[in-house]
Order: sequence, then C-alpha cells, then structure tokens
Amino acid sequence: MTPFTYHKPASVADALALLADRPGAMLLGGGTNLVDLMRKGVETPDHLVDVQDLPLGEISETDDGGLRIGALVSNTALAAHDRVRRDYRMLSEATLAGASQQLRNRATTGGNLLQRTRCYYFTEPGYPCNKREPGSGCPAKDGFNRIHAILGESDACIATHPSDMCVAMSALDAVVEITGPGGDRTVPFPDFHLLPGDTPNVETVLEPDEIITAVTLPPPSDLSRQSVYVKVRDRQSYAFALVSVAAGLALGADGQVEDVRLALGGVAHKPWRAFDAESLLRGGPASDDAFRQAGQAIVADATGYGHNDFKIPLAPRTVAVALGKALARAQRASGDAR
Amino acid sequence: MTTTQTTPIIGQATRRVTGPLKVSGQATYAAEFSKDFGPELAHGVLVTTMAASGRISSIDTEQAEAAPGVVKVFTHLNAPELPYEEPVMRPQVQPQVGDPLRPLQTDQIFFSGQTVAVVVAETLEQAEHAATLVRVTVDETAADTDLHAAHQRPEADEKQDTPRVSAPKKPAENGKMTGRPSDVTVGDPDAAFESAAHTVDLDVEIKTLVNHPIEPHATIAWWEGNTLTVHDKTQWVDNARHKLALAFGIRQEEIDLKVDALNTVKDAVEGVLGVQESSVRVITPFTGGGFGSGLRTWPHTFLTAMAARELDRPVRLVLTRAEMFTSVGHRPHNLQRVRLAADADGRLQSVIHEGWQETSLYEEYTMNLLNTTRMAYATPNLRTTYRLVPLNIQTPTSMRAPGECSGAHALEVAMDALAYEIGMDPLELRRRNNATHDVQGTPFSSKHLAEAYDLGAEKIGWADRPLAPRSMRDGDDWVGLGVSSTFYPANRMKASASARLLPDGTAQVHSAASDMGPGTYVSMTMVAADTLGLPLDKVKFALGDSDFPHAPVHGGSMTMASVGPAVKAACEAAIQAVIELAVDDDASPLAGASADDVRLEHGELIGPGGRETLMAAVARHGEPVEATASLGPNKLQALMPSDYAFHSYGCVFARVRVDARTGEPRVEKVVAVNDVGKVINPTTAASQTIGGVVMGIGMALMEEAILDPNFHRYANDTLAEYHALTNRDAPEIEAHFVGEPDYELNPLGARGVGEIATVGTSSAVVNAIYHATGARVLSLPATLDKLL
Ligand SMILES: Cc1cc2nc3c(=O)[nH]c(=O)nc-3n(C[C@H](O)[C@H](O)[C@H](O)COP(=O)(O)OP(=O)(O)OC[C@H]3O[C@@H](n4cnc5c(N)ncnc54)[C@H](O)[C@@H]3O)c2cc1C
Ligand code: SF4
Repeated sequence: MTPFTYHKPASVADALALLADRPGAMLLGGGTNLVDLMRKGVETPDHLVDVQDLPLGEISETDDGGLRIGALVSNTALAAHDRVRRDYRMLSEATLAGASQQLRNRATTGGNLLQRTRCYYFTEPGYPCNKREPGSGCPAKDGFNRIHAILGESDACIATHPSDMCVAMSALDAVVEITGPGGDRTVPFPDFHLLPGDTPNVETVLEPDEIITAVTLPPPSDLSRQSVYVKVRDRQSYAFALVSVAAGLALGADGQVEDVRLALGGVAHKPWRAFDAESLLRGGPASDDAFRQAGQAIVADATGYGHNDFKIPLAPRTVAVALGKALARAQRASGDAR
Repeated sequence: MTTTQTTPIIGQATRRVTGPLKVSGQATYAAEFSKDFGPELAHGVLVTTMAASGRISSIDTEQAEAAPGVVKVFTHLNAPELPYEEPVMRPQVQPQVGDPLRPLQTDQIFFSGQTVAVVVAETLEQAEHAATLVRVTVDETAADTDLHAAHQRPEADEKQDTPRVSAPKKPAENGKMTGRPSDVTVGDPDAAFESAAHTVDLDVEIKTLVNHPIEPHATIAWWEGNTLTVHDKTQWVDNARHKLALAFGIRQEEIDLKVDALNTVKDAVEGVLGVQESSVRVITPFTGGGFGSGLRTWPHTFLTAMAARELDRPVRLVLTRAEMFTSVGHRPHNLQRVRLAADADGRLQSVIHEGWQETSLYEEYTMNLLNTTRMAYATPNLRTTYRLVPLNIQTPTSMRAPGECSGAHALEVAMDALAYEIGMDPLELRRRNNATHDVQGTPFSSKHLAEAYDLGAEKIGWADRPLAPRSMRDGDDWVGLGVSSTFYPANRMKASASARLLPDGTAQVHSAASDMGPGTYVSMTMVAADTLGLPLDKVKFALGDSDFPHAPVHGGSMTMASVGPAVKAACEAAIQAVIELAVDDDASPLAGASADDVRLEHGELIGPGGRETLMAAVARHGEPVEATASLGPNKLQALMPSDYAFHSYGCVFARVRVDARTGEPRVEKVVAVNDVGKVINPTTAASQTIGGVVMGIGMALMEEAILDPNFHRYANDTLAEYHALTNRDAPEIEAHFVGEPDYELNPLGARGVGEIATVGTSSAVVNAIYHATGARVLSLPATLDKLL
C-alpha cells in the first residue's frame, strides 16, 4: 500500500475543503472496495478523507412521501429499513443479494455507487488495462471474459458495473444528490454512471472534488411495492451477478401492463436501464411471451466475447423470470385488494 | 483415590478437545506466534513476477531499500547460496523427479507468480509498500499453459530440449501397480471394447483447483547460534525439520537418525551423537486446514529462515491469498478419456482409461490419477495410460484425495453414461460390477460396499427414482438423483509415540503428528485414554513439535491408522513398565506376582493376589513412568508385500435442482455412506465426511482457477472470484458408516476417513445433473452456462 495521509472531517464543508486543497485525495466510505484496491496498488490516493463522521447516516422521508437515503447509510440498514422493504421491495432485495452480511454491515450507500468493476485485469496492476492506465490495452477481450459486458461496451473496455443495489435504484428512478465547490446538484440515477466509450477511466459524472450526500427515491407506487430483484450467480451467496434484473409491474384494470420498470445488472458498464423494453411492454399484455420478447429486444444488439456469450440468452430469460415474479406479486396484490 | 474409566471411549461420539481453544482464539497458529516476540520481529513480504517464462534481466531495489523501515531486500543477486541438499530417499510428498524451486538461487522464471525477491522491514505495512517499489525486468520467452494443445504433441524422446508429453520418468516401484505406472494392460482391452454390446467413450476435463485452507501459509523463523526454530504452517513438522536442515546443511546425521530410528525421543538422539541440542526444531501445534498444501515445505519457508539467519533476528512471513495460488501447489488441470464396454447384462468387459495431467517444467508431480480404475470394478480387460505434460505453472501438489478425486470422477461419470447406454439403473450397474479383488487379483481386506449401496439408496429414496433423465420437475426446477461409488486406498506407515504417566494421576502422550482439522487431538486422546483406562480429561495429547517422536505425514488419510496404533502401543508399554514396578514393590497388592499374570482392566491392574489402579501404582512410585513405541511398515503399506489390497469404499448419493430457465444448479441433499473400518470417533468422522462432501460439491459446481491464456496467470486469484462453497450452497448432508474393524491393516482396525469423504461427491452431483436435465457435463465445474 502506498503511504497516505488520513483525515476525518466532521462536516461536509470541511470534507469539501479537504478535497479542494488536496489533489489526489479520495473519500473513504466503508472501505470494502477502496482498501482492497489500495492494497493491490490499483488505487494510490495520497490522501484519504474518511466520511464516517459526516452527518449523512439517516434515512428520512421527503416532502412528497419518498425517501432520502444518506450516503453513509449502510447496505444492511438500507435493506432492513421498514419502508424500503415495504415500498421499494426490489431495492431491499437487491441490496440483500449483494456481498455478504459482514460486507453489507460496513458498505455505505455512497461507496456502493462508486465501487469499481471486478474485471480481473483491472484489479491486478501487472496487466495492461485501459481503465487503470488509459491507452495500455484491454486484455479482457481476448482473455477470460465470463463476467464481462454484452451491452454498451466499447473497443476500449468491456467491464461491468458490479453493484446490485444500483440496478434497483436505476429502475426506481432514484436521484443522486451531490455537493461540491460549485454547490449542490442532482443527477437522475440512470445518468449517473457512464458507458466506457474512449474513456473507461471515467465511470460516473461525479467530479473528484464532489461528494455524494444522498440518494432520493420518488414516492412509492404499486409498482415499486410489488417489484422484484432476481440475481443469477455462480453460488448462492457472496458472488457477483452474472445477470440480474430489477423489475416492477403495475397492471391496468384490464390486466394489461400499465407501467413497468426494468433494469439489468452484470451486462454493462453501468446499471442497464431498459427504457426501450419498458416502452415495448407498456400497454401490452402481461404475458410470458411479451416478457420474453421484451428480453429479446434488450439483447438484440448484444455482443459476446466468448466466455460471456451465455449472457445473451441468459439475460432475456432472467428478464422473463423477474417480470413473471413481478406479475405474480401484482396479481396477488390486486387479488388482496379485491 | 485415582480416577479410572470404566466404559469404552473408542467408538463414542466425542467432541474435539481443542474446540474451546479454537473458538476462543487461544489456539495459536503459525503466524500468531508473533505474540511471543517484541519489536525484534521483522516482517518479510514476497515480490513475485508477472512474467511466466524467461530470465530476470534486472532487479532494481534501490527505491525499495530507501523506503521507510526497510531492513533488507533479498534477490538472487545478493542472497546467500544455500546448500539445499536433497535427501537420499525423497519423502513421498515430494516429486521424485526434478528439482524443487529454489527462488533467489536462480534468475530463471518458470511461471507467473514465482517469487523473485523478499523484502524485510520493521513492520508488515512497510514491507508491503517497499515490495511494490521493487522493479523486476524479465527477458521473456514464450510460455505455454495450454494443456489441450500440449497433450496432443508427440511424446518426448531423450534428445529434445523442450519439454514434451511424457510417461512418468520414475514410475511405480512395485509389482502391485499401486503407484503411478505409465501403462498397465490386463487382457485385450481394445478387442473387448470393439466387440462389446454396449460402449461409452467420454472426454472429461478437470480444471485447476486450489487447496485454499482458511489459514494462509506462514512462517516465523529465528536462529540462536546454529540452532534454527521455526513455526511453520505444515502438515508434517518432521519433514519440515528435515528439509530445513538439509537446505542449510545442518547435521545430516542427526536428522536421518531421528527419522529412521525406531522411537527416538530427543534425549536418545543427543545421547548417540553427543550433541547438546537439537539444531532444527519445527513447532506447529495448530494447522488451519491444508488439504495437502502443507505436506511439502515450500520456498517461502526456506526464504524466511534464510532472511532470519542473514539479519540475525526473527522474521515472519505470511503469504497473501493471491500468493496462495502460486506458492503452495494446487490440484493439477487434467484431461481424461474413458472408454467402458459392457455385455448385454451390464457386466464390464473392458475399461480403458487415459489421463494427461499438467506438471511444472522443473519437477514431475505425479498422483494416483488412475489407481482407482485399477481396483474399482471387476473387469477382465483393462488399460490405464498416464501421461504428464510440463507447462509454465508451479509444481502441483496433493489436494485432498489427489489423483483419486479426479480419476474416480471421470470413471464414475462414465459408469453413469454406460448405465444409460444400456438402459440400466446406474446403481444396479455398480452392484453388478462390485469387485472382490483388485485388477491383479489381490483380495480386498474388508469390503462392505454392497451394504453401503443399500443404506444410501434407502436414505436418498432411490427406489422412487424414474430412470429417464428430465423426468422429475418441481415448479421451475428440474430435479435429479445421482450416485457415485467412492474408493480410497487405506494406508499406514511407521509412527512413534511416547506416553508419560505422572504421579498426579494424569498422562501425557506425544507424537510429532499434525491436526489440520480432522481431530487428531481428540482421536489420539481417545485412543490413549481407552488404552490406559483413564477418563479423557486425565490425558493430555500433544503434537506438532518435531522434538516429539517421529510421525509420518499428516496426509493420505493415514494419521489414524498410523499414529493411532503407535499411541496405543506407547500406552501399553507404559502400562507394562508400571506392572514391572508394581510386582517389585512390597507396598503394592500385586507384589510378588509375575508381570505376565497382571492385566489392566478399566484402569485397574489385576493380579492373582489383588488389584490396584494403574495410576495409584504410579503415584506410589512417585516419579513419572515413561515409555515409547514405534510400529507400522517402513514404507507405505500399499507398497509392502501383502496378502490383501487395503482400501476404503463407499458411495455418495446426491439430489440436485437445476433452474429450468436460468440453468442455476443447486445441490439439495447428499447422503454419503462409507466403509472405513473401525470408526474411532463418530463425531469427527461425520464432520470429516461432511467437509469432504462440501468440497466435492464445490469441485462439481464452482471451483476453478482460471489461467489467462495470454499472460499465463490465474485471473481469479482472490477468494471473491475463486468460488468455494458458501454455507448457503451447502445442502443437507448425511454421513453414515458401514463395515467392521479392519484388523488386517492395524491393531485399531481403523482405515481413515479424510480423503474418501471427498471422492465421489463431484461425480454424484454431475450424474444427478444429468438425471435432472439430460445434460452430461464433462468439463468441470458444471456452471450454469453449461446448463442453459
Ligand atoms: C468480496 C466482495 C463481494 C461483494 N459482492 C457484492 C455483490 O454481490 N453485489 C454488490 O453490489 N456489491 C458487492 N460487493 C461490493 C460492495 O457492495 C462494495 O464494496 C461496497 O458497497 C462499497 O462501499 P464502501 O462504503 O465500502 O465503499 P468504499 O470502499 O469506502 O469506497 C468505494 C468508492 O466510493 C467512494 N466514496 C465512498 N463514499 C463516497 C461518497 N459519500 N461520495 C463520493 N464518493 C464516495 C470512494 O472514494 C471509493 O472510490 C462486494 C465486495 C466484496 C469485497
Ligand atoms: S474490460 Fe475494462 S477494466 Fe477490464 S481490462 Fe479491459 S479495459 Fe480494463
């Protein structure tokens, strides 16, 4: 590990000042990703600004009945929160599907957004990697790429974003709250993470001198209450998603799809919000056929790199599984209501 | 009044005597002995290479040496040349052909991840940081790690300078074919195959698996004059001591004497040699797993001792998890072709099993890949062919049931395929071919496999299983039941122990054995207590110290069968010594009796004229009574002439679910039934079995070290990405035992459980997946992409 200075400010203003004064500084949340990468020599910050003492640890209601999740809320606290479990079910399920209990206890909401890819070549500095060292190459493309992207990837990089929580947040139309030297700003979740393009080293719209303060969720709906998260992985716990799907359905009086949210994990450089597939489904039948077709539409332009080819058939199947579960929940809910 | 034990202990379910120490953090593992040292303890960190082949052209250590806290950076340019002598007879844990890797003694690079420097600093963090500042340049040459391509190359002839596929250069040394012969043929397997009613021909692949004990390998070494003491994560303190002594050129005679002597205790050695002290001592009371990774003594242990000597201070070195992939061996990647032929009734007519296994460029690692095939089923015609393929990898090593685990997997998957080819129940096929002799006609000592089949079938509900694949569906899941037989050789080697009976009514029993988890501590305590007629808490068994009487390697499932009888014999010898004292002692009720007329029963010495407890006699004597004993064959039992072939037998049944939409496989239940002779401790035997099954499921479904094809390096070298089973993946597991004590093997009748427990599970799971889905997975692991 490269030596660094350590700071633990008690206010957001102090934290911003530290970031402004010290180029090469990084924020430290739970450290479950950053410390690993520092020990590997992938991240080499000169200064660490620990956010643990910032007053960002609460989940509170917003004026419109939504939720504001402070950047320091642990993954465990988020998943266990009563309203998250009741009103934003896919978010609770997605967060619980991630990592292990010990890691979730430690991991923060802000840190989860900014966790880096698990690409084997990125995490070992001995390899070239365009994300780590722009211009050095991408050994994943003709190397072992079972966990890599099939959608939205570029010549420069085929890595995936590993988060489960973020997939649900993208589907729920969450909003990221950011503060920085220029003041506060908000970014819709689907716009927060970026596709790799020519600059895979730039992963989000966050600037190095900015801080995530919270993620807000819009008011709940039947759709968010009946939503699901389905994660397909190599083992039942403590494994990243090969493909995951966050899905929510609202049914009209005629049983047709009135509204739908669909996002995929494990397939792209960012949580993959499937806007086009949502449009396909909206107003149509809530049938297995329609679900499969929507899934197929998502992978119509997908590219496999060999070991990850299986994700192309797996993604639409998982979409159908998730939508099927969401449908069952929606039907049960409307049955209960009647 | 001294306490005695009036009921038998052996065979009773007994908890680990070390359990409380372990769960309360008081069991001290190698690296944790740092608590015994102050700031004089320096910390070593390895520098490894990215390049997989070539020669080091330069190492720049200037920056590292200037970093805070750095004491010294050792490289091949400044490390002392060490004698690194090899023993005349290499221990069986070490390849018989080739030379071990000796980092810092050469500039040659054989594989990615090879150690090229050691940084020693005042703190671990300082050493870790400085290690990142060492710049290594390698003049790279083309590396080869592609087993698929390499195994098809023509076989080696003497004159080639590049390594090629070859038969083992030092094959089996006995006529019983229990070793690793390159070719074994019985009858005319090809003709029988051609003319048989039913045949299968399968190519099976088993990828690289890594032992990954929970405790990383670690060493603390320090010197006092010419005396070296080491805490090392090892499964064999005696061999570590021997190898260290040879590496540093210390007192060969003393070491050999200890290993060869019948029942040497330290004093005896010193007496003979006239030396004051033992010059190398390895102390490892606790070993946090190993599965074979602790059998050999690996380069980092020598490097730590070297650094300690050069710096004249204690040095501690702990491998990182990534280094655990390339420093302490692995289960080698192998390819197998299995051809089976049967007549219309399902009786095997021909078995042809070929295996190609990777090894390193500097050593020829061999394992019992095809041995199971030569004893598992009755067949008139058979051929096994074993070939080694040198690649740019570290030397593989034994991993729980080395060879057997991979070879039996392929055989048992082929047996399943043959059953379906015939249209016969796969369990029935195995029953019909149940053998009474190995392929050379040697009868098995004691075999109760048929009972195991019956019990397992009952427990898993085999009778209700429809034969056809893809015929059991529950909701979104395909459900399947699979079976596999399991076999593992029963071995035994000479072991020694000492027993010391103290006037306070307790006994101390010692042997240089190890306990990497199976419960050696408790089982040996049980044997001693049972023999002495003492309650468990009066007996203190200690192991893991090379100054204790010699024990063979803690591997090959032979600790119980080897050390157990030695413990029993040492206790019996101590009892005899007490009897001799008592009959000579007027104060004893046994006074005047002939020693031959006195026997021990439930802790009481009973003679013609009276009785007293064993420990009362010791107490009156007022001084400890001590005896040592040593017994067992000088070589592995399997290599000794014998009227019997010694094996353990069993079967594994698995019920799996495969999600019909996503392909995700899950194991729902496993029933393992084994015949291991006498079960000394049902608790630890069951827990070993459960652990073995867990490991087998991991092998079947998820474990794989993935070699990047261009960089020749394991890509997934963390425990986050190298998937071992989690609790959530572990199903309901039942462990049952059948059979009877095998007194042909040893006086305890015990054969050992550790390895047979892991053979067979992977094949049962893969066979169950076939039954569930109709997909025959031939290349492990059976990940969901193979089941979509
Ligand atoms: C073995 C393992 C398995 C895992 N499995 C999963 C899984 O299955 N699914 C899953 O989703 N995740 C998984 N994770 C990842 C885990 O969820 C993340 O490591 C965790 O969420 C990161 O949170 P943290 O607070 O520890 O972040 P840190 O490691 O502290 O920081 C991560 C990044 O976020 C930045 N950061 C932190 N807080 C802020 C803030 N307030 N504003 C701006 N930037 C900030 C840091 O500078 C750093 O760049 C796994 C992790 C491990 C180690
Ligand atoms: S996929 Fe991206 S992160 Fe992985 S090696 Fe290529 S450039 Fe680096």
